[in-house]
Amino acid sequence: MSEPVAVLGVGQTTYKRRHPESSAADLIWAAAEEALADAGLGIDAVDVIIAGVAPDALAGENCVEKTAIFGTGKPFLRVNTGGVTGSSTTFAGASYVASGRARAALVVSLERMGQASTSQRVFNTIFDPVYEKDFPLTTITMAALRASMLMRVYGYSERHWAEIAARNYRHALRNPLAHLHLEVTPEDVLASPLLAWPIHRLEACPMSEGACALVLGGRELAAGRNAAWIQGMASTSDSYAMGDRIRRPEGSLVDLLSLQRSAVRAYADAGVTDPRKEFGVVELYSPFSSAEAMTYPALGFCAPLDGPRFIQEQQEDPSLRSSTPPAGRRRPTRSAPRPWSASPNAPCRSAAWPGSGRWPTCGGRWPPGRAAPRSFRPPACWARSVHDEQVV
Amino acid sequence: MTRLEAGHARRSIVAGWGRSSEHSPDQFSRSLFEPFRSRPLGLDEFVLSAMRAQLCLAAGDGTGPARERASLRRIESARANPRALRDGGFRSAPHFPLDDADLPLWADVTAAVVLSTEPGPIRVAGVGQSSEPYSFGDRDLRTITSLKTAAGRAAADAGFGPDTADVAEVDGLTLIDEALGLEAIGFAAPGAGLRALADDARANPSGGGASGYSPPSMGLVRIVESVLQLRGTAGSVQQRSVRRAVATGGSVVAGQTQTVVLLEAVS
Repeated sequence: MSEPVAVLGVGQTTYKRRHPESSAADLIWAAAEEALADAGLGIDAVDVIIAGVAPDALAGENCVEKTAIFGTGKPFLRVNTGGVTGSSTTFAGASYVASGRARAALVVSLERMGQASTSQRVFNTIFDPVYEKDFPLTTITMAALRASMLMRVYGYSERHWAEIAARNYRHALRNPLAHLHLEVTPEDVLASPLLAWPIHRLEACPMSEGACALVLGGRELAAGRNAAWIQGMASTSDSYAMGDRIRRPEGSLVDLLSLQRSAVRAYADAGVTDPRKEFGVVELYSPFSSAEAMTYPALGFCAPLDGPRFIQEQQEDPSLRSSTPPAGRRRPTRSAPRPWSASPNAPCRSAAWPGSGRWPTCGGRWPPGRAAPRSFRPPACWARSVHDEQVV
Repeated sequence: MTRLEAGHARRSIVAGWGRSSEHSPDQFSRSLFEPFRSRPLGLDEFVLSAMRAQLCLAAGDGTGPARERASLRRIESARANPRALRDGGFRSAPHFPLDDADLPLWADVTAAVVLSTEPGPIRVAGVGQSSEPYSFGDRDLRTITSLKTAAGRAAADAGFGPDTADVAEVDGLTLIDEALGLEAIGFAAPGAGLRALADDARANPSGGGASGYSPPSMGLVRIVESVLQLRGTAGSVQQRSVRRAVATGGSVVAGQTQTVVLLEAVS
């Protein structure tokens, strides 16, 4: 980058099934105002607004993000890259700052999924209309196909998915913004209804609404602030058809080649050589437990065949199970079921907080008795790339 | 473009496409409006364009021979443009005072450009973006403030303004929108947009929306047409001695967000 980019402020609404009391503009501005206040900046200091919204059909209103424009004159850009819309908005905002075209960028992502009568019918429309749509493929059946392939190829079991889900619910209990606050055991997950084998209801993210915002800025605005610097970021896409990704030597459908390549590039930018040891916090965007398991080897946390053991280690090691990670330990968490388009920059938002010494999921400082990560390398995650989540 | 400027990439391909044949543009347009207070009124983008046309009428513009000539020239330019839709396509029903000839020809349209940080024959001299409030009651529909602001920013970026361009490719849903767009960027004086479309061959030589229209790609199409003019490869709509060009792209609702790109041939 020609200009370093820092996260100056973050904001986020609560996530819940519906926000009937709030319009789309209300949600966007609730998150944006919090981020601006956190940055200590007014809207006048922002040179560009990047807004992310995934399929319009979920909101029932086309270009719903534009309802939030009240003033005049701000350059405004809409981003829709499906499941990675949130991180793409962040990438776009960072590019404006890095290029010198903006001193500060307001990046905000919105999800109004609660307005859709059936999200899966909407998601069915992302698949090829001739070859795939009639199966019928949805995001759930798509994930189920991958989950069953993971079980066959790498030895995962339904129990592994259940354990990941239970850990995420445990983390979500400490996140005041999370949609669901449930005490859930792996047994509860396995006893919940099957959505599409092997995916049980409690290992799938719920349908949530909410908004998330960041204020990004360059060196000038970051001066004197306790900002979190973006040290590496990368985005890579993959082929559209799932069938094209099954039997290829460089990586199959469950090897997340695009995430793997993004990670290599982002780590190279940031100088990360041992991600498992060097990250203090990891925020992953994964709408299903099995999807989270796919990210572990792609991000370099374990070898592909060691994935099941890696999950088991998290159950056996109390420090890995904690929602507060010690320095040098990763905290794999979906922490709360996330909505689609806000979610990938929700992890960015959470990852930014430790840079300012605050704990993102507790609404304040680090929990009493816990030290902040000693050698935190912010931000700790750059999540997934376009076709991993958007279409598969 | 910002990714290239930021050093994230050396080359990028930018593509835009729209498939009007796959859906009802009118239905899509209505779904852009706020569902409780605006949508029940049956508003769509053409209603707003018709309101603009009425504002022009009230100001004494937009009537008479200039409008007829502008409409005729737009269609003739589209017929001459080798990239324009020859057969098929369809039009929406016009709202008063617009008529059929003012409307875009809905089509399936794809456009792409390759951008590079390496020196080339055409350079992006300046870019400007801007926006307006969502509620059109809060806006001056006739002035298109966002486009005016974006043009000013592009001019500051480039060191020259759209008024010095040898070709202007302006995006507008209807003939009236194209005329007001020319005024907003300063290529035509206030109130003279239709006369420019009627008599100035440099204004939308491609035929604009009459050549085929599908919203997601139109700003990019205007850039492609400008590049072809700068290269001297625009075919039968080619203008003489084109060294600078301006292209605009506007988005819903009623051009709420706008982009202006100034291009220059590198000799």
